[in-house]
Amino acid sequence: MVETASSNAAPVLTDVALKVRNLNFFYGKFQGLKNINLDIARHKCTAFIGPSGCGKSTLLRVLNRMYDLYPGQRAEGQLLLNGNDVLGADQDLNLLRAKVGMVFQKPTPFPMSIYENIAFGVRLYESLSRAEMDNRIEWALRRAALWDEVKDKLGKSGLSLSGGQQQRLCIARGVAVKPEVLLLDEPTSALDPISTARIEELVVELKNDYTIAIVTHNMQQAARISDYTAYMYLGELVEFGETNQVFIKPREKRTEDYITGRFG
Amino acid sequence: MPLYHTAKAFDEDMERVRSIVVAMGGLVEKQFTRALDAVRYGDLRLASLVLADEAMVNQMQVQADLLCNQVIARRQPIAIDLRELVGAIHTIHDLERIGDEAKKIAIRSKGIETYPERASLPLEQVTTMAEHVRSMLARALDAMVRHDAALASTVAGMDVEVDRERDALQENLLARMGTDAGAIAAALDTMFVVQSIERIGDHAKNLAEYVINIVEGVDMRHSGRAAAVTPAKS
Repeated sequence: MVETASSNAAPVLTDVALKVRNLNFFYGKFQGLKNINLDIARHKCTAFIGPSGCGKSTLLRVLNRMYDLYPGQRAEGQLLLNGNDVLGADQDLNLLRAKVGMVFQKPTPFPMSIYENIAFGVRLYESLSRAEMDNRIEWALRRAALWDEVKDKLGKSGLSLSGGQQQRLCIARGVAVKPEVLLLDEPTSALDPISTARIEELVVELKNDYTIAIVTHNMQQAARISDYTAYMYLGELVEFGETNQVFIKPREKRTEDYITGRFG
Repeated sequence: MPLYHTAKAFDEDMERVRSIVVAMGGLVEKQFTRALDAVRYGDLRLASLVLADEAMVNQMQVQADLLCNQVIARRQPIAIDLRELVGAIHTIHDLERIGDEAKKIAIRSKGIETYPERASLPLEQVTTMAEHVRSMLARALDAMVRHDAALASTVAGMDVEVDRERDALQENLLARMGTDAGAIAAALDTMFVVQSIERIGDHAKNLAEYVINIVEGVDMRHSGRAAAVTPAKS
């Protein structure tokens, strides 16, 4: 599908990994998301932007039901992963989180060796021989562009790595269980520019095999790495379009004012 | 006009770009007017002033280009800001070309002035055509300052009329050359003047198209369309 900067229509996606339909989300009585309808394209990067508190991280947390860990939080509507509604009570959450992995703002390596950081998740879902596990760990670290830096110190603590390396370790951990979707919640906000560039390069690389949804406060980052951009405000999806369209000629004035840094 | 940037310095940067573009527009407009008057009244002092202003136009072009580059490097503009800066860069280029055409007219005015056949040249028709182009240029610059896409979209229509006037003048001058060998040189000079005026009309049309792209995000170049686009909903 080709969409020009002047097109006034939301993109029609042909290959959709996640469909969000009539999604409402509540923190107790407070409604954090209001009737969200959105398709997340397979093997593309979709960026969520918007001011703090607009609901973008909330939406990301719904996509793998991270909110289930917290009492009083509930979602209504549909979230279709390959056509199956994963918001149902009978959904196996471990299985869902293996399919929809998440990387957080601050690197969160486990207090264990680099090797074990990755093996830990894999063991939850698969029982591999030592050789198979070794292979999987090398594969995941290579995918996360970290292998060359850590191959000689896999027994060292994950916490001994730099911030950027820790974040790539977390991405390796997510990738190791072979998910379909990777959710990245401001993955570079705590990193220096070089580490940020590495992660961005990694995202572009990874989307060949994974569907990526990223929340970012960095407008230029969204412009650099995403194929689609969703602008959210006060729990609503204001605009969703191809990144080229959104950053050159957004359909909504509210989007334009926000992304160009104008207050209103 | 849009709201202010949270970063006030960004607004100031954009304002500086707008100021230099407007100043440059005013200067080439003046060059064009003086060059036309030089042709019309045979006032060679005006022709010299047009040539003298060229250095200033060139200097402004370099300054404005540098400023646009600096704003892009420092602010990484997107959406309306990006469209306005890219539009400014295109505009600067067209304004410089308008200055060049004005210079060509001024140079030809010196030749025309010396011909004994001057009185029989269709200079009134040339002036009428030139007034239309001046009006196009004024409108385009006005639309740029006010971010007025509706005003800008009227310029393309005027260009069609100017092309017609150019065709009529060329026919007239060619016929003259065919029947009066003594007037060939003067008619040829006039032909070049007409050509330059028409080119300035084309540049004015370009300026107007940049305004439409800045305001509405629609690239009108080579489209043959008059207007009709949907701006962002407020």
